[in-house]
Amino acid sequence: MKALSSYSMTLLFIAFSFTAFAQEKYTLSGFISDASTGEQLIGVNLYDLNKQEGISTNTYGFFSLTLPKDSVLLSISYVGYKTEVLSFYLDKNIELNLELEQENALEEFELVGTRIEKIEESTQMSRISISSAQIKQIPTLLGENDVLKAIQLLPGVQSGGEGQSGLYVRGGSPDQNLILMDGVPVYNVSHLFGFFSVFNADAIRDVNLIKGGFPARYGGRLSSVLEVNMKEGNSKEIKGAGSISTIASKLTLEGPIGEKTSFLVSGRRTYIDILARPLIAAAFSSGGDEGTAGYNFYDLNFKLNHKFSAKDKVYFSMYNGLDRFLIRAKSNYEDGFNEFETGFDWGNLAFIGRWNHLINEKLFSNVTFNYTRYQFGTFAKFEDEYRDSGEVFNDAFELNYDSGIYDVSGKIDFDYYPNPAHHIRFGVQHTYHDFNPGLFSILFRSNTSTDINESFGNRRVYSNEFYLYGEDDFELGSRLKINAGLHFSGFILKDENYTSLQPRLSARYKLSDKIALKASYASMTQYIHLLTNQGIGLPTDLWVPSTASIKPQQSFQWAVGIASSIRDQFEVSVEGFYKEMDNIVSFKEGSSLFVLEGWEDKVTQGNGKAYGAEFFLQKKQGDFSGWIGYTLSWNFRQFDDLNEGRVFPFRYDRRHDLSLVGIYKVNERINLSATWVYGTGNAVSLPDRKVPIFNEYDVSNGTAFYLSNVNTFDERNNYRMRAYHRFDFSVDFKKEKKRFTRVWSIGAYNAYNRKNPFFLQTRDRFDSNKNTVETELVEVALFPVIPSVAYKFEF
Amino acid sequence: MKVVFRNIIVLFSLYVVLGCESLEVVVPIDVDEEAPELAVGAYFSNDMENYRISVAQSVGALSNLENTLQDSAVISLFEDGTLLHTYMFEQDNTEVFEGSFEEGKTYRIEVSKDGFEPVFAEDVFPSAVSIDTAFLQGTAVVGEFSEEVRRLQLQFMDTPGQNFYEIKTYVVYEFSGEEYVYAIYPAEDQSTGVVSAGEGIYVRDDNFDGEAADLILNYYEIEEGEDIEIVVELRRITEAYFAYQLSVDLAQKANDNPFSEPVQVRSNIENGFGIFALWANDFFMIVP
Repeated sequence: MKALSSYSMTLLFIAFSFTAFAQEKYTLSGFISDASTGEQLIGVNLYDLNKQEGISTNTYGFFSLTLPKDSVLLSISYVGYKTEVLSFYLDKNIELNLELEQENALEEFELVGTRIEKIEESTQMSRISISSAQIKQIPTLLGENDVLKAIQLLPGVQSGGEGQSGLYVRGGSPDQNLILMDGVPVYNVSHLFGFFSVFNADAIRDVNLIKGGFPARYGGRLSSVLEVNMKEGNSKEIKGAGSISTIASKLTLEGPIGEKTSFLVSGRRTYIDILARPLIAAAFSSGGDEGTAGYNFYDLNFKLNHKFSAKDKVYFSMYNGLDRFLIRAKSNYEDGFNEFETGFDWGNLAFIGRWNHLINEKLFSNVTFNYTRYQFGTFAKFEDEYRDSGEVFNDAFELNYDSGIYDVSGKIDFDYYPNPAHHIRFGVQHTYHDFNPGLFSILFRSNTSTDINESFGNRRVYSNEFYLYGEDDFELGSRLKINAGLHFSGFILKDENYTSLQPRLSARYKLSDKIALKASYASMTQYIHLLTNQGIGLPTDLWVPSTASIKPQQSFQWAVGIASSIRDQFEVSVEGFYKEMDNIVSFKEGSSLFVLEGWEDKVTQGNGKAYGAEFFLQKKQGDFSGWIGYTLSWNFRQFDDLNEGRVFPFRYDRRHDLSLVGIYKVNERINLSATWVYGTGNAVSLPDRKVPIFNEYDVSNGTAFYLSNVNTFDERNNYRMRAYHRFDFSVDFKKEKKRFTRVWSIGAYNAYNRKNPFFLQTRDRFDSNKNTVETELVEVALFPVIPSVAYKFEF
Repeated sequence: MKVVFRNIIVLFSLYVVLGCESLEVVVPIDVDEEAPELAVGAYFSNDMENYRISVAQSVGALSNLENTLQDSAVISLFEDGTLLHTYMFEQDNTEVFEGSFEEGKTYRIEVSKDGFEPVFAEDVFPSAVSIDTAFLQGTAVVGEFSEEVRRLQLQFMDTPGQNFYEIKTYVVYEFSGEEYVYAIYPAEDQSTGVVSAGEGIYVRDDNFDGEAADLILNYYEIEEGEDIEIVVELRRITEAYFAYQLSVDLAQKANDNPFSEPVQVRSNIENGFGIFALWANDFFMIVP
């Protein structure tokens, strides 16, 4: 039984969603925000100590708590903030907008830990949150703080290869992660071939990862939901932060514009190209040529928020990120020149508009419109000109390739709080997709022959995707809490339509005040696919839609676990999961990186299965904080067209995956942080022999020809690379200056210089003793120990 | 031409990805060598009277050994369980099997040699097939890179059930009284459901099971002239041979492309490698 009965889920949902209360009641509602920045706080707990009932704020800091007419002793608590307790008599609807002050001991610099409700209270399992401050304290490659690298340190999440920012969640692939920036999907989250993500840590407020038990409000991907919430902008005063690191510099400014508007602007740019430009030019000129080469990326985030009234607030966000690589060379001769230029660029552009409207004290709505674009382009140009007998001959050749995906989307979400026992969410979304799965154009110009101007490649595909959802987070008695929902989605193409009804169920049963049992089931459907080779995160990866012949991917995931808080200092959870995936996509044997055309013929669909257990122990507060995350898992694939139809281990079938993260505040000025990671080596297909291949008989004598040898192997992913492990550390030296706070951060990536395998290759080596050429197999490690220095400042 | 562009792009990407070569650290690793196994190349058709089978061996993945033909391997051929012939393979020996094959009968080959595990393969001889007609379409069409593509139309009747076909096309001409034959290589791009691999074109009958097949086959160039004839050979082949030919073609291409998905070479030789290929064929002559 792959799915729970949709009908029984529907009945359950209806039965518990609208419980009627006869007693006279009033509603307490409003927004909770940070006193120093005005940022609205997500997941603040509001709890009536008299009635033993409570609620948490939603994504926009809104809450609504309906209670019987009576005296209320309201506790408002949030990790890292002073707890407020209010006493009043509730005999009418009350609007309560509160600002919480941060605790002195946990000011921004040290603040770590989750910011959601206590782990044993929530029905949501398989969810972990990380704050911006936490992300900034984790040591990283070249000192560039990275959200996705921090997420990779969590149990159930694996990195792909060395330095890669792709996430492999519970046996899934990077394309199966719904990565939302302010609620809007981002398709390619990689800079520099995956070594950095597109998220600028200075502009991030918090990050939530959901690995299973997906609430019905999420859909469209199989394996995870990663919500990256950007800062809204300080509404109290002008603030700034920035850094200069080994590879990039960044600057963030935020502040109020009048009383009702705030803004945030944040930029980041690498400067390897600028630093290297004189050296590259000198290298070209030493050979008598002119030329330049370089690579850079940048990100720009902009946000503007305006509060029209207590009930209406609008947000406008813009993100633009681009990677660029260019080589240009020109050789001059006595009678002419030739010039060569090649490069590629890729990047995301997103415009997001949101409108929060409080319809009444129990019903909150959010409308979102967005336009997103991911584009990849590459080109090569060659021009040759020479003079002969007074005549000029000029030939020019140009090749261009473009691919991308463009979305226009709108959605409306509602939060409805009929009473403290229920939090109902429902909504609808529609997205118009425009896929460009790769278009080539060539141009040849010559003053001596006919011009050629041709285009070819895959046709653009247009589609509509929509979903409706409804879910209720409700209590059944004091111990049992359930989140039940349905997600209905559809994908409409010119010649094919798909729909899917996906039941979702999560339950929490409290064994005691501090320990809870949890279980969940989620069915997910994914209509778009990423064609990718080797999982390196190259920009050439193509997003393509489901078609008449390529079916939507589906997953069915079950999870059970136990969660507990220990003295409010520690959180511990153990979860087991089992996930089946249908119609997942892989390239066929022999297919290559570039899909010139006919991509549907190059891919095959099959099934996947992953199961395992995750252990997570986190210390959230105090001078020492950090976590231990361990995953024991198995991960398999089966495709009729691969491995002769037999089941084989997924490339990222990683039996053991361990992360240790420690952050230690030595004193007010010095902060230490370190991580150690260990993972079973990736499974790769390695030829285990060469076999002779034959051609048919020679017509003349009927002999089967012996042609040559080719590599082959018995089983796909038959070889394990060596285990991966790495130790990183950083030390922050903080000092309060007159006008700002500065931090010198020094650290090292791969501190003990482990030669971790990045890929395997064979190479020929001349053996001078035997006077023969020997072929050997080598693992290539990409990064030795890499030190980093960064200067950070805040004002 | 498209292949050239693709290779340029692949090489360029490889250069970029591995461009930071100064950062790489190379670690030689040892892998366990697989024990060598016998590999057999055996091709049987319904229109020949003598056959010669080749026997070689597999080698380790890191071996540079090239000629691995195995003299003194003993080969036996059975028809429906009855031994037809046994002989010893020698590279310089011209001894051949003699006989003919009948459709629907089961043939088995066994090969053994000291030091190797014996290998065998078994398959049913395919039923006969005949070409209804074949002709060159009158005009050449312009391909995506302005290359000329010549189209050959082939019609035949498929029988119900899963069938696999191989199509080969030859130019036959006379010169100074001698007849010469050479194979025409098909274009890389073919119509949907038609795959080009090496000298052959391969089709499975998914789109015309039990019905009349009408195939359009693309060739880059077909020479025409007064003394030239085009011969089209249609073979109904076994599934094992179909899989072998396609996988060998992919494996050869993958050897030169570091971004290629890995390829397993298919085989129907139990305990070993290679192919025991059976086919029934028909020929059709076109005079351009």
